[in-house]
Amino acid sequence: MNDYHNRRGFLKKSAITTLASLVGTKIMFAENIPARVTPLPLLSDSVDGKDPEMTVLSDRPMNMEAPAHLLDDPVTPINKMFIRNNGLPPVKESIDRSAWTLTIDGESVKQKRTYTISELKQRFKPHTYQLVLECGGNGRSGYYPPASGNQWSQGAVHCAAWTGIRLKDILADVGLKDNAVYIGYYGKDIHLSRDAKKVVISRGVPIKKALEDETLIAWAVNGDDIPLFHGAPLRLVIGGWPASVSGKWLHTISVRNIVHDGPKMGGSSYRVPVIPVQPGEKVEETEENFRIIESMPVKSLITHPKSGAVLSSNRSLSVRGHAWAGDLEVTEVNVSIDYGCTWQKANLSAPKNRLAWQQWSAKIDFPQNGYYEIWVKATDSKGVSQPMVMPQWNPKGYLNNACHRIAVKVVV
Amino acid sequence: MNVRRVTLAVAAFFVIAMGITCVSDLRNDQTTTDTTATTSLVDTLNYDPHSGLVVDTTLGLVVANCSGCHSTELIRKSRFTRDGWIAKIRWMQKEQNLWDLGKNEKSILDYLEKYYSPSSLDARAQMRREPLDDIQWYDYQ
Repeated sequence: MNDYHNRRGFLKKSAITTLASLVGTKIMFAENIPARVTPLPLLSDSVDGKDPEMTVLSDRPMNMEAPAHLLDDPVTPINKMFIRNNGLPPVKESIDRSAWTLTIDGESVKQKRTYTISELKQRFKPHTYQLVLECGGNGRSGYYPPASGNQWSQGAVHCAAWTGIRLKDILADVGLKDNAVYIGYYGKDIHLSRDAKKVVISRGVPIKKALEDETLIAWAVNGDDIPLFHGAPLRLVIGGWPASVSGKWLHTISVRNIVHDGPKMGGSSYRVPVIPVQPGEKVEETEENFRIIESMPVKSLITHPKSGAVLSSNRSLSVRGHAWAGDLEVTEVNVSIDYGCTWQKANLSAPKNRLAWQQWSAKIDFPQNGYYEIWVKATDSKGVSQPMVMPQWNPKGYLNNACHRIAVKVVV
Repeated sequence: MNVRRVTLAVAAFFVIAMGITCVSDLRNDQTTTDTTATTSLVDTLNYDPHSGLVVDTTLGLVVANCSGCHSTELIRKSRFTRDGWIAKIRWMQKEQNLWDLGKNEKSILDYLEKYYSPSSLDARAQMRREPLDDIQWYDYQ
């Protein structure tokens, strides 16, 4: 922590001066920086280039998310991508792209094989997909009783353009046995205890999901090398499922003849109770009681305007954002300014590719001056839509896809 | 995290009253960095500028035992019952190489229960979504 805040939690004048010198410009509206928020440049030099408006939930391990209005771009820029790390990234200087290798092993490969990155690039055809990666716990702060883990608001999601080779191409080159059930990744992150023998996190997906066209072994994001905090130099990227299946600092993929059993696959990690439970109920952590989260649920965000807009010249407003639905597509988006009594259908674009988020927009006419909340609700291709209230509570607070909303005041 | 609950002013009054009677070693003008309790309660507690945690005679023990591996933000942003904190400690001992806290465990749990329990949030149980708060109004062009 630091002493940048005054006793009410707002930034001290001296901290604002330091911040201004670090970012090389006057900090506009510094007095409006919300209480208890430490702007990024003051916090750490280890997350170079992130937007100063990103919200840091924890700096060790590093976890940060984007306020909704930062996510306005159809393709999320790297400096606005959330970071969710379970351990510490490998030391930057230890990452040698020319020496880095990917090994494919496990019970269900015909033989173990190892490739350098340049071999991967030469042997296999590259593909680029825009893929939604959303933390399984995105929205956790909306659950009551509070659930354990990072108290994400709604910004632990991004849709960037990833470039790499298809996992299915490399698995075909290695050769799979008929008994392949699951894949599991291994990365070079460092356990928080610094115990070199401990694996931080090793998750994966069923072989069917692994063999989809969009499942990539990626070396680039938005046309650049993957930055350290997002998994340099190689990352497994799997859209539509909890982002924890997209293993960073990737060095090995094991093809398993069982459901992968690495750290954070079992217990209640990235799992929800099989049977709906009462909020706060204790659920014994057995295989029978919990199921692994697969596709993420339908969800949407209002990315423009930023919440808090005061309209003084015009009672109409153009709003926009994104909607996504895990493995499915979004078929309809609606907005409401009367807490769900009536809904207005929004314009909705097709996804750039499967598993990319879709852009929606609507023009809202307010009937009179006053305080309004704009709510957005998406519906997926199976007719399932978002709840306005807190969804099914679960012990780890996953899958909160409650409708997003912003505040607007009309004072014409 | 968020501070707020204008609507809970009455509840806040009692929390403040309890805070004043519970916290005996108040010192003035310490740096406040975080709480999810009410703004008024914030004013009655002192926060350590380095860890961001509530200043108390047990703070040293908490920092020594609980910030070797992870940031104190993890504590500051959590709210658990005593049993919940015990479960966290047991999990860290099983999975993360946390040592046996011995006789210090009771003091640490007393501290965590006192300052980092969900009681301040209990009113939220009454509603499935809270009113929006912390709205930063701005002129929209």
